[in-house]
Amino acid sequence: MTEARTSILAALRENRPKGEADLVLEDIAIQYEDPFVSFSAMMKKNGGLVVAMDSADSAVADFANRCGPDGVLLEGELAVAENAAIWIPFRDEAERARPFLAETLAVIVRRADIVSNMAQAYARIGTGELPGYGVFMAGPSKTADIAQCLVIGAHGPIEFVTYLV
Amino acid sequence: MKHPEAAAGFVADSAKSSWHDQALWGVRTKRDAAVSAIPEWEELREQGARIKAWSLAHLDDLLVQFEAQCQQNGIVVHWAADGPEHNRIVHGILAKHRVKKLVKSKSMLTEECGLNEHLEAQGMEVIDTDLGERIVQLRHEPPSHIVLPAIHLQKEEIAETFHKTMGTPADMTDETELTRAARKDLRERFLQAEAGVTGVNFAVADKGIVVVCTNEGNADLGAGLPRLHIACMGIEKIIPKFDHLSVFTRLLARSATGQPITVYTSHFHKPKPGGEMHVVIVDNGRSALLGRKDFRRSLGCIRCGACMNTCPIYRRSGGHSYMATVPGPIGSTLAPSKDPKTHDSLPFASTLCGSCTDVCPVKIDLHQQLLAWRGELVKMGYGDRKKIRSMKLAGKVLSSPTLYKLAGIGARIALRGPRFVLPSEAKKWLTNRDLPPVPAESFRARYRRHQK
Ligand code: SF4
Repeated sequence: MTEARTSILAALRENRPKGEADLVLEDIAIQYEDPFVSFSAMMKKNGGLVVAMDSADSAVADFANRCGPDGVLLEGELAVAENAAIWIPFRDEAERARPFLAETLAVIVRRADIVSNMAQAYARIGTGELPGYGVFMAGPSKTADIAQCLVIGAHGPIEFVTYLV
Repeated sequence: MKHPEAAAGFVADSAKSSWHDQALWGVRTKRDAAVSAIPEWEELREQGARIKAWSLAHLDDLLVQFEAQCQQNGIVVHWAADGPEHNRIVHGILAKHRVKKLVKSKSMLTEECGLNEHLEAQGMEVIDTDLGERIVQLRHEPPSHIVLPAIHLQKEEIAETFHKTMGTPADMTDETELTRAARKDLRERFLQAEAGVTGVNFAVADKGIVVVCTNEGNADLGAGLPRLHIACMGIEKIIPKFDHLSVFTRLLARSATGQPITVYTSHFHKPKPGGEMHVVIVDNGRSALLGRKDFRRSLGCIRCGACMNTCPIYRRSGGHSYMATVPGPIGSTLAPSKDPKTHDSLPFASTLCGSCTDVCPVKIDLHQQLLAWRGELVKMGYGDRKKIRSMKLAGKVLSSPTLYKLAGIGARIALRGPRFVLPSEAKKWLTNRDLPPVPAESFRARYRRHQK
């Protein structure tokens, strides 16, 4: 164990505030009557495209037409109505950088997998085995670092398509 | 140099300083809109504050738990007592892998420790990849805001920087074209980099997860492409449970930019296959701050920048005038805890209007801390002597009705005269403002008249 570790932990023990009450948090997060509607509205606001499809197969076909060879198509495990974030787990063998290098990134999510809020999302993710790397993605990459002017497409994908099936 | 002098240049360019003021107020307005869509916002802030308070009371246990979980996942954990030790550790890992080129995503901690300079001095090439940070890196300037590093610059200035450093056409000032040029230039560098360094937004103790929030996708490219990923964090980034991420991801982006969430919220749990991941945990004065009852809550800061966007002083004076890694209200309470002598003017760079406290997503009592600092600094013998003398004088005048009356008469006469007869201190105050006209009658006289 390093010296720094020992001294930091000792200082924290010495200085920590005492008597902090137990941490119990109530469930307060917003619920949507129709998560699909809210998700779609939010994704549009975030600069992404929402396409409703009757099946995953038709989504794959549409993707092939729309994007050509430079696009990447992924599967999302769940989506969140309050902010249009989609949970994308990368299991150990997956190439982590690939979707970020693509010009167009498309994600297929089942309509039944849209939850209302982040509290529900994390509760659900936490029950399964966590991936080595997992990302909530909520649209195309963006920046406003040049004089607060919004530009869609920074380092990551310039276009983001969500297929809801 | 003190804050007022350091701000003078920025304030003097009144077109630019008004633009800056308006741009940041625009961000504040977006924050308000996003917040109003969440009916439980105030309760959510309360939860954020409570989780942070609990974490600060259990930091030692949580860090030990976090370390054990990380190790179980194959992440190597390092501890650094201060900035120089942090830099030595990061350099050691890079040197072991013979890294010559690395990419970095935003991290205020490495800024605080001066990591770039340290690595560059040892011959490594360090590329900041967040667009705003890249812009200031190319200009050899520090960031002026923790979320919007280049907010002190206007389009034409950035166009000129790109023209000089990347060879873009001199007249190319369109934000999309400039962003694409940077994307192309940096894409190459991502592909060549042998290591990626990232900051940490949240470190989850019960699972050993590091969470990084960005909009540009640069952290994911930097961590995902090279074999080696180093994440650097202050000890206060710890939160107890995975579920608590929901509270902070709901608070952070809404407070920062008015987005419902950052585009990417990335969870690093294990090294990539065939790769290596390291976490460096840094103290650098934080454990000492934890022992200061009046100021420890500032350790709960999630670096959203909302207190800067709303602050009337920050908006008018610009981030560089604070001469501290973190500017604005939160920086003004953090900096003196490290070095009260150097930063003694910062707690005075505030109107104490309390707007910062109102917007802070984790309810840090910012303006109260600034007020408390003023008292501390004066006790330590720092602070503006003139201000202290005039406060003492004001105290005397305000506690004596006769003196107060005389002062009132004097002031009404003086203020009616031409401005150049005012004492020089008062004239300074009028550089960018004017006084309202002096009423014909004093409040006392008016009150007496109405009593009759
Ligand atoms: S002090 Fe509060 S408002 Fe300011 S940056 Fe930190 S979390 Fe945000």
